[in-house]
Amino acid sequence: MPTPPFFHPAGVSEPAAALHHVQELQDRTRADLGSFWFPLVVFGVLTLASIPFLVPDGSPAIPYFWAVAGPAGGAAIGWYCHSREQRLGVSRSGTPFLVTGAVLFVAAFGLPAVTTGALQEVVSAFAVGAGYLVFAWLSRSPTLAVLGVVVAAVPAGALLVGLAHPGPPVAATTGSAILVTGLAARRAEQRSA
Amino acid sequence: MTATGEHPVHRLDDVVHQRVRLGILAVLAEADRADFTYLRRMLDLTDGNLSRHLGVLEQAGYVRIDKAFEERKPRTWIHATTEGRAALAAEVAALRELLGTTQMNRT
Repeated sequence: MPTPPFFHPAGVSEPAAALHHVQELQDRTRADLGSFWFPLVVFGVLTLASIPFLVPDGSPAIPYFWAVAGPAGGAAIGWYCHSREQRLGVSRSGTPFLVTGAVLFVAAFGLPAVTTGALQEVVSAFAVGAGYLVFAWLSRSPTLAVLGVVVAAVPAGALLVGLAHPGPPVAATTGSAILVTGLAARRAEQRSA
Repeated sequence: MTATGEHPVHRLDDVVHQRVRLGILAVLAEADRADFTYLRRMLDLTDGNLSRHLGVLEQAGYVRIDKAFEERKPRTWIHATTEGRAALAAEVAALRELLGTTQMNRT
């Protein structure tokens, strides 16, 4: 079968046109696969909903909240991703995302058990920030990377300021940041569709 | 020319170095799998044209084609094989090298 030349405007070589073709298709595929507004909205809302459960001095209320909300949120996201992929006709392996989510869940539960005081209240936010950085790397998303840095910086700032009970303000700030990023991502996806 | 003396143009794979087939592998390298309709839409092809190119890639062992029934409708999913991903990576590397050679020759 003869190999037709790549279309390329005058002055652009065939290798450049072929590489541009590959890059353009991979960018479009990544954009189709990289819908992350729903997971952000779900976990933004859940983080804000967790605020009333954040009581000082190691009360068990917040672990109970996340023991139910975490898997429920994960299941909702799994359903959303699966139905979106079926509708679009393109999918990627969910295993790296599931493993990251599971590690994040265990870390967010385990770290408060080995910390005390103000750090105990916000240490989970560090784990969440690190988790978003891993998700950003997996999705090659600068937006998620910025969000990960913000989510990790908020508890660091609260500790530096020396808040006695930093849990609620940190949850309010990070939850709002996650929710707003999710809503902005949804709007951006709708515009580009 | 490379350190081994082989011009990168000799490393271009005739199966992959074709606009449609390169495009199919580019999409599948980014995704785990894509269905026939998605590829047809992404590459702006007719059914027959896409089928023909998928046949070439399947014969070369670069893609795997799975036909299934989902909600009582036939659906064709296409996956890139390990060999297909490697062939795309080699093609892109050769193209980059070729581009460098072309630019060097111009200057």
